[in-house]
Amino acid sequence: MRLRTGTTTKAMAAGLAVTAVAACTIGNPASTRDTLTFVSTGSPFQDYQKKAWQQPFTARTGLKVRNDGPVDEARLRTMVEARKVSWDVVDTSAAAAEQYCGKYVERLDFSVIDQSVFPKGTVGRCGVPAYFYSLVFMYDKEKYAKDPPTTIADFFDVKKYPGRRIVPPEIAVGLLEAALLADGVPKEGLYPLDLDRAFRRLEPIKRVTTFAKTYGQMQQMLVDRQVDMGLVLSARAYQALKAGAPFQPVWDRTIVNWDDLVVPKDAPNKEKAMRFIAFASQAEPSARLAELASVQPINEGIEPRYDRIQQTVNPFTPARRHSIVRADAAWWGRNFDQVTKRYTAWLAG
Amino acid sequence: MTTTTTTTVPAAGGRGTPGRRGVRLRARAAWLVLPATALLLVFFFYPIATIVWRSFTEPRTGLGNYTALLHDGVSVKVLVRTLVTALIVAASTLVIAYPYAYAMTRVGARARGVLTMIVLLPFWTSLMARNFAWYMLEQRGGPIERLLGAVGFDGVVLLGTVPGVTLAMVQVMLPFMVLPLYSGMEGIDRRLLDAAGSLGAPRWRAFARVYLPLSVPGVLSGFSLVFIMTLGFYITPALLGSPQQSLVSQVIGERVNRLLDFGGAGALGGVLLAVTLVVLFAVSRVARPARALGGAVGHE
Repeated sequence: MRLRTGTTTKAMAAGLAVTAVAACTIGNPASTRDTLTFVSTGSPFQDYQKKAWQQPFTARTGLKVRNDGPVDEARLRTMVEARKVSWDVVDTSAAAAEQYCGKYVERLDFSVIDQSVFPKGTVGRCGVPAYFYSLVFMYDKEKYAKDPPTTIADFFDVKKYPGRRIVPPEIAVGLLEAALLADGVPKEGLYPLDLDRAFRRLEPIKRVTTFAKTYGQMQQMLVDRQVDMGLVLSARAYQALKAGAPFQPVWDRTIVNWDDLVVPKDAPNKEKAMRFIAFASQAEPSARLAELASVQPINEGIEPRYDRIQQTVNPFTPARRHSIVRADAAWWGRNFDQVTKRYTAWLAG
Repeated sequence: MTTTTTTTVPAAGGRGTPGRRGVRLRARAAWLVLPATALLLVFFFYPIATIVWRSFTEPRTGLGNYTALLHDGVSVKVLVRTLVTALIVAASTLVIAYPYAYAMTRVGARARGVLTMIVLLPFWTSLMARNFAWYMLEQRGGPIERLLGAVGFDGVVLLGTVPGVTLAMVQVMLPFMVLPLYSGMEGIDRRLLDAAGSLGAPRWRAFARVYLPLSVPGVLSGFSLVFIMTLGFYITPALLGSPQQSLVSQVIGERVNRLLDFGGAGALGGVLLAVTLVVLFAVSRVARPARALGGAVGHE
């Protein structure tokens, strides 16, 4: 067979066209009308959400829920821009819900979702709380048996309490708040955060601190006792304690954040997504998730049946709730990019 | 492509003047490369072009993303750190791999098989498994800290440091240095060393003046391969490094995933791409005459 170059070029072009078309159809899963796509952090947390929210929701409504994950805001942005959104309900930080409201996430339908069940100041136009989580100051009770730390300021005092520290992989869950509270800023005057002051306060611990890359790493380092104290999310503290890590909480200042449920812009099943969020906001599913995942329910009126270890890391008991400082998601939504850039530069510098 | 290579170099890739038969072969060969070309165009060149395009257009058209890299107080530092790390990794692998590859050319077939296996064995092991192994070795209280403690260096924890990342990357990159070196050295005619000896050169001089220059093409291709791969390597720095000493791939990941700053991330990627292309260009300039020489000698 003899081919002239012209034919070859045409054939190549045709082949390319076929490949290009094939490439475009990849990643565009058939979204059936009675299946919602739910996206969260992945297992095991997403399995808890499946048990607490999705299974009862399906039993009640007959609507199936498909799981995807992990949440990736970059992917969300790409999907919205490419007009190929396959996600319906997404679990993301309240700050992200604020920041991307109207841009990558839809306004919520408050005729379907009852906003009166959430604490004041936690409902955004594009997101409502999915659950609350707390940043707890934990220390190794064997290492500091003689003179245990008692205030958040002790976490930042490397002279009085030498030792390795660990802080969360995300900046928006309370490290800067903890630094400012340790520096004497009152709870009420915390926002807007005084970044200069916060970073000054962080400087002394930088050398002895592991800035965790993932929450899994954080949990593992507590269990392996690679660190002596940490600012730890309650759910991770619970897992570490359960695995036998000898850590003890300090109930001086506990920064409370929350994740939102949001609906991506142009989600394929918008109305059903609203119904799902309304369902997840009821007392029973919220309590169930709190029990399974060791997080806090969407309002303090709901009382989950925590086990013994969960009780040791629950800041919402009468004796401990004085320590609670709620984060300002709206401030974070406006300042997330700027703070993250500064934090990255500070870390890498 | 160049057509100035002499006809004594058939190994140079069939770049001689093509006859009619050559044209026909080429037309048929085009079919063979079609799938690969299509894949590359759709899944490689198109995305890269998009990334570069966005780095010049997002959020505003212009060089904003590139000038911002100079002024954000972190990108330049991280880029320099990455380049230095890549150079150290490439140089270290070269020092380790050169005698190894040389030994491979000097032993019998069976021993060579064993040596090749030793190089390839980690190559076939999952990258994640190897990185986690290094994680265990380098962590606090791990074997490396205890070993160094035993010889008088207390409290050396490599995990989360650039030296720790470098050490692991040297191991990960070793096959990419050994194999090009070996294939280069294999083609070197040992009789040239005998000739040098018969003309009165001591063995070390014969090696330094004859063998070493002939091995330069292999050295350059191994060095540039490892250097370029290390520049953009993600897994090892992400697992074993730390935000305090991050390398450029981590910063790009942070920009994309946390800040959704596709333009800024693209600019950082663009700089990496530019560095890579410059290195490749420089290597191709330096290596060509040497390769021609090596080829001519090898195919006498």
